[in-house]
Amino acid sequence: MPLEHTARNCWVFLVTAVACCLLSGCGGTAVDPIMVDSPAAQQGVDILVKELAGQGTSGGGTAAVLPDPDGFASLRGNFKITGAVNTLPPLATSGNDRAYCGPVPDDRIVVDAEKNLKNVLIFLSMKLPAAEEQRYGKWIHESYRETESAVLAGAAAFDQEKCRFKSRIFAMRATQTVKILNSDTVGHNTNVKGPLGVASINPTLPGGSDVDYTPGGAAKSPFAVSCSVHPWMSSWMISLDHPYFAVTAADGSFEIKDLPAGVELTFSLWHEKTQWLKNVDVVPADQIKTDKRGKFKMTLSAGQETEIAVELKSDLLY
Amino acid sequence: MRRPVTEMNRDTKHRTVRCRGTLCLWLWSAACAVLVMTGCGAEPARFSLNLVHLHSQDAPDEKGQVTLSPAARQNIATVLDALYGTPDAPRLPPLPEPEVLNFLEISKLQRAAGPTGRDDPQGGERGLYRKHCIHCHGANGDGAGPTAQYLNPYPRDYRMGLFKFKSTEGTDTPPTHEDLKRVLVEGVPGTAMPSFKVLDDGEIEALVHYVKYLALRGQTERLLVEELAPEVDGRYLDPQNVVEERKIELLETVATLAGTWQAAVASEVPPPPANWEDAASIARGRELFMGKKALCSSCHGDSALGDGNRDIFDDWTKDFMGPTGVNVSSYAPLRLSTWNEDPRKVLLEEFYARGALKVRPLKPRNLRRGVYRGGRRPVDLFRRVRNGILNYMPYAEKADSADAIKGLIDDDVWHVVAYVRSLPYEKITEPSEEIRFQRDLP
Repeated sequence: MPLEHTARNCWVFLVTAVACCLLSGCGGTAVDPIMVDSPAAQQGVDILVKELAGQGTSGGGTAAVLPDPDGFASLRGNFKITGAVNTLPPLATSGNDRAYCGPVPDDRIVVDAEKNLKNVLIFLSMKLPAAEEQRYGKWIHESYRETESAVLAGAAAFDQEKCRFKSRIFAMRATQTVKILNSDTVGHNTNVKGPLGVASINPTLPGGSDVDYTPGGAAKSPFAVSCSVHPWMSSWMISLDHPYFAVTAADGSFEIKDLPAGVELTFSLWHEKTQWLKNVDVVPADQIKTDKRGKFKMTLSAGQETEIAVELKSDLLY
Repeated sequence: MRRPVTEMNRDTKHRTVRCRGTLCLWLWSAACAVLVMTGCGAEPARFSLNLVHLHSQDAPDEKGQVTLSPAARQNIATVLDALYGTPDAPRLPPLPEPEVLNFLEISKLQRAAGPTGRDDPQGGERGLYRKHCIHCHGANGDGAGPTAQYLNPYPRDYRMGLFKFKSTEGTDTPPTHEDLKRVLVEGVPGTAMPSFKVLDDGEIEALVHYVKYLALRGQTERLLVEELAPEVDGRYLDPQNVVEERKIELLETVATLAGTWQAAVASEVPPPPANWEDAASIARGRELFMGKKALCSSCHGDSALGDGNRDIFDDWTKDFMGPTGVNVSSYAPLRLSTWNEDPRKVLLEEFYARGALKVRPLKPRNLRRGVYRGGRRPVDLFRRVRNGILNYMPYAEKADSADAIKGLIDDDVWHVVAYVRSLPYEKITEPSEEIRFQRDLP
């Protein structure tokens, strides 16, 4: 009967279509996979297998030796937004502690009346010589020796209040210990998720308690801090194997004292909202500009104080 | 009523045409099925990059600029193949100190890898991963095989090296060999992961090694994408011009990763107190469960139905849900300007197109069902409370005394376990609307 045939046709179509989609995974907009699927790439694999096993033909050049710094110098400056500044809508909250926590503003972008930007992270992002005799006195100023394994407590602690982390970005040395406080009466859990080589913790922190955290290793970029009880809570940390870092204050200013001078330094710029601050003019006059990883290079003169004033277009952040 | 002859003829004619059409359709579908199933020829099996992670780390900005160029991305696939081989021919990285890779045995990997078959009529089976695991866990170990989207919870994506049900301390430490073996042998209750008890020990061993191999490979890929490759302009390890420093850096990174696997040991579990699971023990456990120190009820709910906080996302989803995932404005890694529109749909579609499974929030366990994914032995439950689960369920630090402001002494952890084990038998009085709804859920 015609009706029966139509039904069977439909059925055949359907089964085929579904089977094809399921088996081949056709999604229409699917993005092509990236794999070793050409003879040239396969050839590359064969070469790299030999190279990694130490049987390659490449030169095996030695690491470039950094010249010694000729003294120390300071870097200070200011970060500012140009263009429209918006207020972000408050964060959605949920759970039993809502009443205690109250409304939680989205404070990822904090500017003052002059549009100076708080919470920009600037840090030295180059590998310093690891040898002990190369460190203090040469690459790291002697004054930083005594704070190498300091315990950051009191005003320098990492605190949480009203279900918000008080620091949006917290920078410390890998060898230091920070007191993570819970100044709330409700309980939190502070989940610090360090990358490979940096400690991760996630203890329950009842109201009024604290926990010590020592990163133990250096990170290449900031890592997240969160709380499972209050999922809107988020912050960032970075641990470094040197003391050359700063986070801008409420007036957008920062200062890094006693940096190695006379050698080319590499700094990175980071802000929570947009992560690496790329293609930013740091010193337009000298054409110093960050690259696509937020890095810029600069050489400081011994005994001098260098000042930078960085203007960020607001559409970089929003 | 009889129909006129002409009409009947038309019917017959139609039927002939339709019959031919049906035949064509059957032929067409058969051809399609053959093509799909054979994959159009004898292409060797390949690993592919984790596009979801790549996109979360390196989405094009407003100007379409990315940090890792197509050539740099292709090079990451090449480097990974050079380190780990292919799904047909796995390889181990040639580390200067190969003993950190002792947790992987190449002969076992070779047995689990490749197409299914037997070496000879008496020999053991090969291709075990493809026979038993690939439909759910995928060739890359991405937990996104063809059946994955129909399962809840989704199959584990090994590529972060994170496993929930383990005996080791630490939020991101790998599991022990025995932990993974237990999961294979026992399955994961309450999920689609079955028990593979029917396999012999050699087969299970081969599969456990292969899972660890896929995890290490996936972790290496993540580090290449997040840390190593972006520091370099162009290819990280160009076969035509290998930079010695990067070769060393790469092998050191793999060695550090491997060291975490090699060092994985089960945490100590003390014996339970003498009064464990008596009425006082259960009452003490209940007090802690509801209290402000252990904080169990803030997620599992006062009724322990798992109806407390439900707005969190697990590590696998966090790749593209930002650090908290609580609302769209916290999709931090994305640098897209999405101020005036709801970005949820647009952004998620980008990840779905790259193979991500539909986002599901993390659900705290309903403890009244008496089904424990990480195992029902008291020792399993003790470790869940003492060690936590990865980065979402926090752990209870070891306290010096029961009155300490934070942390739990061993006995108190056992009392919490006692209360949890009693929950399936505890009455819920006056259930709220939400509780009734929850209870009806499968």
